[in-house]
Amino acid sequence: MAQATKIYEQLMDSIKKKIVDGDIQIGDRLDSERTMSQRYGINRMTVRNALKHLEQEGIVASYRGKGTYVLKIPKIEKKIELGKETMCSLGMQIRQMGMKSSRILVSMSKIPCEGDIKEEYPNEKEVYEIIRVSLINDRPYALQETYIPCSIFRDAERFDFVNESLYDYMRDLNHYPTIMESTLHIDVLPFEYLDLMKMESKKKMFVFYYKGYDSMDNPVEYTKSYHDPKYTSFCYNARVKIR
Amino acid sequence: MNREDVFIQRDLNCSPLVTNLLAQKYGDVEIEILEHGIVEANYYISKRLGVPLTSRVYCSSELVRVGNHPIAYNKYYIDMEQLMDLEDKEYTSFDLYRLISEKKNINYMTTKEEMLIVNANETEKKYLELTDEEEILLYKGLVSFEGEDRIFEYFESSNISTLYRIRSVGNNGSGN
Repeated sequence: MAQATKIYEQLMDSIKKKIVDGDIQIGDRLDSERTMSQRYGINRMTVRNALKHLEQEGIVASYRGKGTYVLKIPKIEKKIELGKETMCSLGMQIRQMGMKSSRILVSMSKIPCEGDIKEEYPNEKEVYEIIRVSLINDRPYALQETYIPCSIFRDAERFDFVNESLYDYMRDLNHYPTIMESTLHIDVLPFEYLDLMKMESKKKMFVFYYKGYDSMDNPVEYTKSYHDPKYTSFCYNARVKIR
Repeated sequence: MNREDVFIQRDLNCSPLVTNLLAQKYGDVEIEILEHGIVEANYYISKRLGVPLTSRVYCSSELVRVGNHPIAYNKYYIDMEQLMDLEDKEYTSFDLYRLISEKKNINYMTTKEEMLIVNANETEKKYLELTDEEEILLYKGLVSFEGEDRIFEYFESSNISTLYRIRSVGNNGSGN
């Protein structure tokens, strides 16, 4: 394993995470050096070192006699990393990168359950199809086609899938997908979405298929998700059998 | 068989070595060692392997072919201390995993990987026989033997974009 993270770096990471998560807002004053030193049981010089580095990165600014204030949301990585153990909705992942995130609901409709959708929901006659586009700094970067069964989510038409989390909606109805099966491969974007995503026809994308099952093993989500690799990398841990 | 038809599925929960997966499916897998030797770790490699700068590191590059089609160009770096006095000769990564696995009596590895789609550089175009416009699937990662914290290897693998399908099944939390 690489060298252990220094204490001042751990404090920096903690402060950055609080800013990214919204616990500390831009313009907020950070706790004083003395307060942090006492709270975390660390040397005051260590706190000062962490704040100095944050100031060098442009995340905070210190004013003598007044304190240290947050200037901006830190950029943690250049690419959005998917496939982490903790499930996040797409919107939350984008925000963590310090970029402005938004989402468009392209369409939401009830459709017959047939074709490859029928293979996922063999007992359903109809499903809701929810098509959304996620944007970074107003530029489309991901498109999701999500299919949820009408027999379970009867009032889905009333839900705000643009601003609210699909998983929060499912959780409220006790059908949160506790088991996820996902597959990833590389392919081109379906022709009908090229204009929407402002992409060329031959451009390769990450293509995810997610299948979610609730605590009673009901299939509750089937999503096909297309990600522009300009903004996306995929990270994971794997176990490999040698012999 | 066209090169674009060559693909394997890796199951992240547990999967054989890629070479074994290819051999099981296609039979005819060739690994050609392009370069190998001992180098001093630069800053980038020393950080990834968790070793001091200028540590002696075994470095190798290899080309993988299936049915005479080049499908992957791999580079990897291993801390010399981890090679456990192996005889000084050429090894493919496949050989090394098996040899060290036998010495340690550990049958599994854990990897931490990142996958990107990028434009092929000149070396990758040359070895993978790609045109100027083609993109590749680039893997970068760290390998450890199961149960050990120490990193065994850092690798970068440049692959034709159609080679892999990745599958995982896991808990999504309790939903509470």
